[in-house]
Amino acid sequence: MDGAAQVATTGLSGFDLAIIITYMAGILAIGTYFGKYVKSATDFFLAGRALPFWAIGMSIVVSDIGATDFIFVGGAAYSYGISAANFDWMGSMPAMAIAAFVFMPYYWRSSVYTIPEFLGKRYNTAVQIIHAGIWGVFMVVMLAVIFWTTAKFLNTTVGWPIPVSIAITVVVVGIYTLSGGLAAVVMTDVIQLIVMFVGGMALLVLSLWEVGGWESLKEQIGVMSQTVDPKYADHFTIMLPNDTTTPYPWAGIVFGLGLVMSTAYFSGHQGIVQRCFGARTEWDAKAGMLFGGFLKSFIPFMVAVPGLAAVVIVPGLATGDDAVPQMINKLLPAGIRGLTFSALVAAFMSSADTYLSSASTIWTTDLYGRFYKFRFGKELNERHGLIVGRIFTIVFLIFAVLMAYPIGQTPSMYTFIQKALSMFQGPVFAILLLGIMWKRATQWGGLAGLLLGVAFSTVLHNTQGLFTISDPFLFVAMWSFVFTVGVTVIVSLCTPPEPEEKLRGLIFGQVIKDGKIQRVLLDRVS
Amino acid sequence: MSEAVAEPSFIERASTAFGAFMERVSTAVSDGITAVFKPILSPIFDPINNFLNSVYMPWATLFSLGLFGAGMLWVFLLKKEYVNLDSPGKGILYDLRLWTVISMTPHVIVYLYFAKWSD
Repeated sequence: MDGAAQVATTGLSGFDLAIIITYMAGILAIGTYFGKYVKSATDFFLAGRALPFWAIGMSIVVSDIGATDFIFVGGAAYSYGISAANFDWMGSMPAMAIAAFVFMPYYWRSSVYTIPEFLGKRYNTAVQIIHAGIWGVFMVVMLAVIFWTTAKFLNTTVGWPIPVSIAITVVVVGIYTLSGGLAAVVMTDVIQLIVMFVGGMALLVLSLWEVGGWESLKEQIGVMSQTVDPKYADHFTIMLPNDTTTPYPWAGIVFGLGLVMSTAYFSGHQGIVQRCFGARTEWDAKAGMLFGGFLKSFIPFMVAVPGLAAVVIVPGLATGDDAVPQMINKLLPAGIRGLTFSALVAAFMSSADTYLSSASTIWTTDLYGRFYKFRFGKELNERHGLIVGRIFTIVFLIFAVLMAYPIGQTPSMYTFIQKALSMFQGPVFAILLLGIMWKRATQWGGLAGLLLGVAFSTVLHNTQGLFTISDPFLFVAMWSFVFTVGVTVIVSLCTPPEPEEKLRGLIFGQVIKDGKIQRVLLDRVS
Repeated sequence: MSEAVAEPSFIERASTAFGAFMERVSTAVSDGITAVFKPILSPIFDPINNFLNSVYMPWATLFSLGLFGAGMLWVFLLKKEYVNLDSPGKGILYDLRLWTVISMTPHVIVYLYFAKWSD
């Protein structure tokens, strides 16, 4: 949070502060309002399956774009140029179309609450529990990280002490998530996206105004590439050579990010797809994903372009992560600055509510639910699920508050957990894809693919000098995906096929071509 | 007179010690894995990396644009009833194939705009 700490020098006006406080109070009121609609586990975890496409799309975008994206993507654009925007362009629409038309119909029709639950139906309980365990731990730790970074941000900008900042964030996010569940999370996300767009667009317009417009910006950076540093020559090139010294080689961007990592993210990140599970119809689930992809195409303009403008306005920064906070300090007038800070607070809060809601869903459905079935031989009912879900929400809030400081002081711990999760993405996507597209994939193929794929990711990630870039996570995702596909296919072919009854409604070809199965699925959903 | 330096709290000391421990474990694991697997994996990945490094950059740009183009074409190969199941209306505005094309168009424009057509 070095970048965010930079805004400490802003000296927010009383008007800015009033905007931030009004914003937080408004979010609390709107989120809590949805509590009156929550009567069952389906209402709590899936918003009663009543979400319209526009709310889903807006919520997906705001959950995906955190405050750190504003700071780090802007910083990466400052250091490496527009290629940093690939994460929101190449890393969104192709993957979101695949998620919309391949994965969402299946998740939606099979009436699942979580991705691990789907994997459990398609493969076996071991795959479900391994996936749920890793995601469940990751989300709870990330919740503590987000509370810490939000508190640091509020401490440096508004001057509230860290314990007070944590308490305010926990109370606001906790109350509306606990009372309104997914519906409150999504509807507050809608407001948060609007605030984020207004704040982001203000920063974009004022950045371009300051440098004399887009063409002038290009011209000035072009001159700097000849007089200051040749690295600026590629600042307006979207695809960089494979042996680039930046973290964005073209093959990693196209294959690793475009085909594997982002598809794994939009098809397999519980926080993202849970919004689609809560759609009122299958059409809304698909349309929400596409609408989100359309909105995401504008994000780099608000995030990366101010980073590019900072090359001209605040040259020579020690780290690119200081670029956006410096631009906020320098360019935004009172009132707009308060709005932009609210946008950053919005980004923090939306990430926190996403992790809180999704962690509670996974722990209730996939871990407690499986334990309950194992112990008592029956599934959780709606009422029981709702109570357990709310208890988990409270427990995670308390855990996150207690762990926020120690985790905030130990960046290597959450770096380690994030790295562990990134090593998981390629293999999980491989078994998800094969599970849906290939009838012959067996439970043992899926389990072997998952375990050996994660092991292979670990090896690739830790073998120094194997790739030209220092943090080759894009290549790791790509090759671990290929490896997992190979392992799953080989083991599946060596083990007996799954029974037809188990696979009904879970295979792509059946759902498109078999009218009888389509009717069974639709009856099941209705 | 020198200013008194505050003693770090137990949590600060424990967090720092834990961070240092994790760092040491991570380095040891990485060194061990490199020693065992690099001789095995390098002969596989080096030729692939060399091939990707030599790809003419305009081809890479075309490939990225092709990904979006393929996505737009692909939705028209799916059954219309499958794509638009549960659609609230019958008109073209509710056709998600058109939504896909519209959603991808801004992306195609930026990739064309920021493309570099020489190596």
